[in-house]
Amino acid sequence: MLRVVAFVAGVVLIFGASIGRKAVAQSDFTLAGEWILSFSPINGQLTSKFGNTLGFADRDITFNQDSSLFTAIVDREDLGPSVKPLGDWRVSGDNFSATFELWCPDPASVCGTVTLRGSFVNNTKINGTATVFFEQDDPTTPTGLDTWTMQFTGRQVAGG
Amino acid sequence: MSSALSLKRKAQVALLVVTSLGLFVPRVWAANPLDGVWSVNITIPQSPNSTLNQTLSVTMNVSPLGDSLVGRMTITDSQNRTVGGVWRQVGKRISITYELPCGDPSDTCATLVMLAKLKGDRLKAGQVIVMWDVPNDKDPALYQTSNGFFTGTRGQ
Repeated sequence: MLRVVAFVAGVVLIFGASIGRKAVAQSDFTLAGEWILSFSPINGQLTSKFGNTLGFADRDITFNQDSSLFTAIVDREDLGPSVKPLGDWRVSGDNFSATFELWCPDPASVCGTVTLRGSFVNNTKINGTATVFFEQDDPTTPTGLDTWTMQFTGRQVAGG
Repeated sequence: MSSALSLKRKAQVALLVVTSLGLFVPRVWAANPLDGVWSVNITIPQSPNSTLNQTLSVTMNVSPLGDSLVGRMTITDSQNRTVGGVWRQVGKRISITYELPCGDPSDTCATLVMLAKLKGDRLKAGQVIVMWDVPNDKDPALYQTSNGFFTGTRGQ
């Protein structure tokens, strides 16, 4: 009888511990912190069908979490000290999504929204794709908007 | 004497011009800013391949635009879940984007991009783009997308 109890307790301990580790591992991933994202073309596509592009410069993005609010801010000091486009984000397992409104100072220019989708390589490395929905009609796309994609890799800034 | 009259006349003209500009400029830029509380109904497909729609009733609490011509907001749904969002306004054109809450296993995760025109205390011609968490190489977005619509009125 004692052997049976010990066996059951052992099984519970072993499996309980492994389940616990898995749950912790999944929730370990977070974007919170400062990241540098490097963008590159997909299949050589430098612009959208209508010639819209964001270029391929690195972006310094800080992701914050305050209770249920997951916010992000892009540092565009290259454009001006106060230029900091905003976004928000979420993580599900080892995948994440983030979405941003572009900074568009010229009302005559085509503006848009950027969505990032990707996954964690580890706690400090990510990769994925960026989709830009430009506010220019394109009847050939399912959304009706000019759409452009890039790929990216990201690394968390040490201490960021 | 005539010089004093002339100066007075110039001052009157200047005042008239300034007043006219003051009245005119706000009408040019005129659209009211979006900031404030909005009741918004968002109609989108229930899932990526569904032909059935769902309507999400949310309250948007919109903060003022910041220096970068974009602003923050919170979105609270009918289950009292609150998430963050961001918005942009150029004239009457509004763009809003946020991540749908997707903590429960039954939730389908997606990103919303919402475009509309601000007319008085209403959001009109609201178009919604849903970008689901479903990869799709054939979609130009590389993820499955759907279209929806939304309406909004200022106040709760």
